[in-house]
Amino acid sequence: MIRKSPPPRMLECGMERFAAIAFIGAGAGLLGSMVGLGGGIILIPAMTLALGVPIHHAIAAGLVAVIANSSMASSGNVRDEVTNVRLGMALETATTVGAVAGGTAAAFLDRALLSAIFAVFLLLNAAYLLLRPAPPEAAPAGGAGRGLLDGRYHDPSLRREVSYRVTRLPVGLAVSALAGAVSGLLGIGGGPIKVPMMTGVMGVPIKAAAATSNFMIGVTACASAALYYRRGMVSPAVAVPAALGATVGAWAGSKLAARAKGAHLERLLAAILSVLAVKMALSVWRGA
Amino acid sequence: MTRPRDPASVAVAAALKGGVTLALGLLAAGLAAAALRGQPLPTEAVELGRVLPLALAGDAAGLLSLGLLALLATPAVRVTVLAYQFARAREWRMLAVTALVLAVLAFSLLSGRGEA
Repeated sequence: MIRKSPPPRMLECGMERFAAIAFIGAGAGLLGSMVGLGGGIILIPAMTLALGVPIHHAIAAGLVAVIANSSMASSGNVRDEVTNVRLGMALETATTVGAVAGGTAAAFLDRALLSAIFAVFLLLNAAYLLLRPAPPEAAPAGGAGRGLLDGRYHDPSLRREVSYRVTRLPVGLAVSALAGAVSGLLGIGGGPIKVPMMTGVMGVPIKAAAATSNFMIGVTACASAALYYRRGMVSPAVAVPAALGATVGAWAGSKLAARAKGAHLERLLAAILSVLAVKMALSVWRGA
Repeated sequence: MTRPRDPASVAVAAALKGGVTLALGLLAAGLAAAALRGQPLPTEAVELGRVLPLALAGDAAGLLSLGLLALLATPAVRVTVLAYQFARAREWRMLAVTALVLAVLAFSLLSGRGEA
């Protein structure tokens, strides 16, 4: 199935529409960053359902927003060496290949099929939010590794240096390729796939895993965003307000996250994702 | 802890921060240009070959497209910075890994002509 070009009126952007997209982006960035999912997973379906933005253009805007947020958030974590740069680079060999495959596939999927896939992914994320185990309070005592990808960082909350050994790299590469494909196909970051994989399979402490995942997201999104740009799907009228709004929202979310009650937020976001999934499924069913 | 900072981490952090700052500045300039001329935001980004001349002429579409490209290029720049740092430190295996990622990014940029 070959994707059809969207009607231009759906991309036109006056002041009101700019404000509406920026507002949705800010809300998505705020909520997404507070629960660690990123903003794209709300931003893309909300723009599609509320404003009629064609899903391929919404996905392209989501990728732009993901890159902005990842680059801003990663800067501090990389400087403070919480991010495992070498592990991130190694896994990026798989995420970028997956992202190119996902971004290429998206061009050949029509809007209805892409919306249906997105609806399923929204439901999976809602279930993940409700069922995921709480992260451990303390980092595991993994011992100092001397391997190329092993890491260490200073944890201010524990008041000590945390060292860890990275294990099962082949599994990590395989799962990273899947996360990259999902990112390229749906325009989201893929953190809900990579973070549990790094903590549960590769022995990386949660703080380092979250920071390394965020670090990788920008390059992964870059790989597929270039494809979308060359195809003319990165519309400034959609991508600019979405990226600006999501960036401001994510910044505010990072400041508020420590004060918010995580469990309540996760249930709220799970409910929002479920509603969006049902609405997307209905829009596919009705042929909208 | 007073462990000396890893030069690669410091350089990558600076590249990320600098790229986002540049991109946001260009986007702000593009929005201002569109507002001053009473133009709606362009629905399509400018083709790669025309971006720089239009941006230098102060055209809103050119500035916004250049801002978006600067944002999209920021992660690629940080990979390049890392490649340089790994080369300086003679970490050949990490340099090979970084070069592979750069090759995939280059392939993505050059193969993006589609059926839009």
